[in-house]
Amino acid sequence: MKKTMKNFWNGIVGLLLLAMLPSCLPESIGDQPVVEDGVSTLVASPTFEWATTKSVEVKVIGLALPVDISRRLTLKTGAGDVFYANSHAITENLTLRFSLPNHIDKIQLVYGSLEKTRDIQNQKVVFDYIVEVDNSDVE
Amino acid sequence: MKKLFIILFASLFSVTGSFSQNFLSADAEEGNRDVYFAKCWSMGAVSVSNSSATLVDGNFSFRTNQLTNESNTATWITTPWMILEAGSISFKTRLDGNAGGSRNILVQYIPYDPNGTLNGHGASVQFYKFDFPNPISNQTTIHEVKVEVPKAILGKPHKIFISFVGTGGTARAGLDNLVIPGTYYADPSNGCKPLIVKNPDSDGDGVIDEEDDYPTDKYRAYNNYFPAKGFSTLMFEDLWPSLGDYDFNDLVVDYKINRVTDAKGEIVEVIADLKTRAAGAGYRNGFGIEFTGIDPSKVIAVEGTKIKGGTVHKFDENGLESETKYVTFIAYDDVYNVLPHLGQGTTGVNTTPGGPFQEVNLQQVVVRFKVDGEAGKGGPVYLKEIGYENFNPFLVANQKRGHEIHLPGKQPTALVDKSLFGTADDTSSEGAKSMYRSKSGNLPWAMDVTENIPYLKEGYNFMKGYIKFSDWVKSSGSQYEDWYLDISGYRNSEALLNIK
Repeated sequence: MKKTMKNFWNGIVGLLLLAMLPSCLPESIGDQPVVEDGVSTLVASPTFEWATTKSVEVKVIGLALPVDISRRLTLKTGAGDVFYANSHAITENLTLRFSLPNHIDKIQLVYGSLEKTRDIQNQKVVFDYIVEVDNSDVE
Repeated sequence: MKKLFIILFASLFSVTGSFSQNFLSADAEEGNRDVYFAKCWSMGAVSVSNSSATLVDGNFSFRTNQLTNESNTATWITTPWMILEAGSISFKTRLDGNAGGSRNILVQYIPYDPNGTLNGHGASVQFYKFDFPNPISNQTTIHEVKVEVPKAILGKPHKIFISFVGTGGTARAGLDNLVIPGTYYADPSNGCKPLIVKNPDSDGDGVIDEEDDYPTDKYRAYNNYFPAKGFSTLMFEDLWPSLGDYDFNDLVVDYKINRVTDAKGEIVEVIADLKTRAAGAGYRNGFGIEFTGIDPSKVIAVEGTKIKGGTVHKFDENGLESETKYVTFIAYDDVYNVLPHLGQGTTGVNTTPGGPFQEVNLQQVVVRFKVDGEAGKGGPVYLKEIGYENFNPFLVANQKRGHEIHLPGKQPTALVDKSLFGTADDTSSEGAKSMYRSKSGNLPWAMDVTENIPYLKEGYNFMKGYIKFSDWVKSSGSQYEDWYLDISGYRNSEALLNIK
């Protein structure tokens, strides 16, 4: 009787231990996956990258000048969040590639007093230092 | 052959010796006056034109409006700031043949005056006047004009200021092949002020204080973050190679990476700010980051990791994990080192609705590549070498070093148990983009969301919390690419927890 009771409690403890096991215990190879309804029906393309970022190429076209000018070049998202800063010579071309959040659609360049904002188009942005001047003075 | 805005370095040899002279020139061949403005030239009522009526040389010349004003500020060109040298200013000019009473060109200089009212301009001084011969009508002859630079302005910052003036009629002027002895002395990135205007650089690293993120530290200059704003959220399922419950809360880690660079663009240190927010698993998982492609010999030291005694990992003297091919650090070998389990009947930490919830703390891991300006023995690492592209975070499942779980498409470290690839629900084949995707549905075991987002409560699958997620997946990313944002209709707050 005593042994029977001991087996009974052992069984209860065993069941409790089993119940306490987390949902994420591994299955042996070949077992059915534990996937909730909904996710089990989700099928992604084999080439889908599951990325919430996109690769964006940023080109900066240098300005031909007869002097060496180098200073901080900053790139920001349209919302003003800095994602690149480095010293850069104004005369040099620059090509960089960044992974930026999918929802970012503009990039801002700051180079000293020069500031420009451009839309991301086809995952590319091209900047130069040319200033668009008001031509209303010209007949 | 016309040249554009170049300094001509000419050497003239003679029996008595040699000398060299610099020139600044403008011949309008840029074809667009915006380019000249970008290079700190300026002009008023003057265009860059290919009109044959005022063309002097090449394909373009500078062309004035009709010259019917005797003011020197009506129609004009100014050079950038220059340091003038001895010699002759020269240009070619013509009229278009239309009628007019008189037409003249005034050659002036503008001294630099730091207290001047406009861009440092002092009062202009005329030192030459060219008169087009009368009658102005039918006057289309090209004239070559030469004028000596006044001795008084040699060696100091000045602009040359050319004004076109006239009375009556409609005649315009063309000007070309302007050559001025001297050197360019303007800074287009500083409002076209003279280069002489310097801002303070307290640490002397070549980066001026206002552009230096570390103005008093000569070994550091710039912060370079990814993500650009705040933290990103990494979420893992930990049963790989078997599928899990897809709540992606077995480990939830927010991260922000800062690559601190010096003035040369070399990385001084990578600072990984980590916030481990949830561990919805019974496993004692670890978390590490590899920077793929970077040789471990380039690292001097790793600081800030949380490793327990009797760890399953081995470490080199510099703190990196041993026997890896690329720079790899283990931020913690057991999630409970940074997010202790609270007990009280919960399975994991911070995933049970209603709590209790463990406090989330910032863990900062610093990987040093340079100390006091000196790079590691493997040489410097440049900013372009470490970025999101080779950021390779991973979970080490349940104290089994070989059980690495990475983002889909990422490669494992050298310490992965390769025998697990392609087993159970995994379809990875080494070296291929298929890495860490499931056989059924190509599902991942980890996700990296570029925003800091809430994670799923225990018992809810991911699609219950993020309503547009499945549309994003099924459309291969073409729809709802911003599914993670907090936009009306995108989230179901009942399924989400946002402990952070």
